[in-house]
Amino acid sequence: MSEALWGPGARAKTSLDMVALRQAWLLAVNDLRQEARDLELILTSTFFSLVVLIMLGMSFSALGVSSQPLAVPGMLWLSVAFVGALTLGRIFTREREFDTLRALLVAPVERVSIYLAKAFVTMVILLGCSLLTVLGLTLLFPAAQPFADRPLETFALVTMGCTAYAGVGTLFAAGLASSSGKNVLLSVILYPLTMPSLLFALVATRSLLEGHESFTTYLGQLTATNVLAFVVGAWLFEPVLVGVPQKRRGAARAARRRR
Amino acid sequence: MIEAEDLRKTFGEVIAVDAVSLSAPDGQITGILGPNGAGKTTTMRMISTLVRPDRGRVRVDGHDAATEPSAVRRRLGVLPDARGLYPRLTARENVEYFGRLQGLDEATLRARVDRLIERLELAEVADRRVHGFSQGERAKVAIARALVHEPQNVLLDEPTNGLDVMSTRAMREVIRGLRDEGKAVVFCSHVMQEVSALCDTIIVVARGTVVAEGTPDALRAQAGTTSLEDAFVSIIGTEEGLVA
Repeated sequence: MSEALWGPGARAKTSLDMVALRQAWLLAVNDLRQEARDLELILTSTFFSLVVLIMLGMSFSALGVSSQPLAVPGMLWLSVAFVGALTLGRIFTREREFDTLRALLVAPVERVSIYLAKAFVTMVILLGCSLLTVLGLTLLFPAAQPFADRPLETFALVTMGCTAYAGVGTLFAAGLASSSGKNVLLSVILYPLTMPSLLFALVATRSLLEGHESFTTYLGQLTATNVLAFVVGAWLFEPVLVGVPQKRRGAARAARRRR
Repeated sequence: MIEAEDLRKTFGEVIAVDAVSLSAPDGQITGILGPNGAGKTTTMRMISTLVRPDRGRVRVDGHDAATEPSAVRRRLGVLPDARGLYPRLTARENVEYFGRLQGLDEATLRARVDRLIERLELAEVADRRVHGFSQGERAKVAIARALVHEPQNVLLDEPTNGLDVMSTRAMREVIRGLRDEGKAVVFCSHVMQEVSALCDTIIVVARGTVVAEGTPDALRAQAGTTSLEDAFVSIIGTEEGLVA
């Protein structure tokens, strides 16, 4: 094993964090490579975003310019929430359908790497769809013009919003990949838990459209929710993915009975 | 070397494995034989760190699976029962992907993948996508993936399941080759012919527990029969779930 980049001989040279990051990168590249070959998720999410955009445009085209800064943030983040649920529902599909997750779990792959890779892929797809939605909203609604005028802020906002959503959502998508996962959990648990991030993103977007100085404060808060989402997600990912051993569950039940 | 001690695993009220202990030394093929639902796959999953036992412990080359799971995984090559290959990747890409995850550098990886492709006679299909592969080709690719990091211990879950005669013979040669290289090979099967043809030691599992253990000759002597098949039936107490 002397030629291994990590392994018994290389462990001292390569820190665990670097190993996890490198593995996360390999996992994400593999997912994106397969996605590039069949475009299953990308096409589904993109067409869904376009349909939502057309429906929003047709429904709200008569909205007055003064009301648009109130409505456009809702349109953007509602679209992200729907596309996110669609993406997350399928992010572990390859592992589930072809049973590759087991092969992955018996390899010396850090569980946090799988979480980071899946969150990254979700974020990339979500970001692409969100940018498409932003472009459409800018074309359809005059009040969304600040998106075009302040592209860096817009990009930072959309990236932060999508990252937070992916961070929380990937954890629950992992629950679907395990045999105990139930699809209904994604909607029942995902939406309430992503609500804080979506609300911060919503308020920050309105602040951006109205040109308030508070935008950077809201963006900072959104970043903080990102950090929180990823810390909690990384911490809980393994129990969600592979389950809690019976003994621990038994101990927890016994503790509840004692109380 | 793989050592399991007093393993127990329950799923809800069902006791899948209870008090299973086994030792698989280097340079030997240890077979776990039992009818369907006997607890073979659950035992394999506990050894491969996929399932945590409720009780007992697993050690691989002296590393404890509960406290050093990564060290154990690095020393194991696992062929899961479902194979688990990415159909949109080629055979070569599937093996290379797992080699990279094992931390192999590119030069070593390429050399090893080429060697495995030659050894497993996969050259014709190596650069084709796995989608559409036969069962035998899938099994070979999955074996190559399990061996790419040259593990000292190999776990094979129903390695010849669904294979035709030629593929089964080829797979047996590969398994014997691993033993001759000094690796500890554990494989589970419900096919008696497989186990008796390959194994140095046989562990017979029924209803989640070990009911007999020994060489094929020792098992025949224990059961007082001349045929291994009769010995298995006598030890297990039923023919149900076993394939001759």
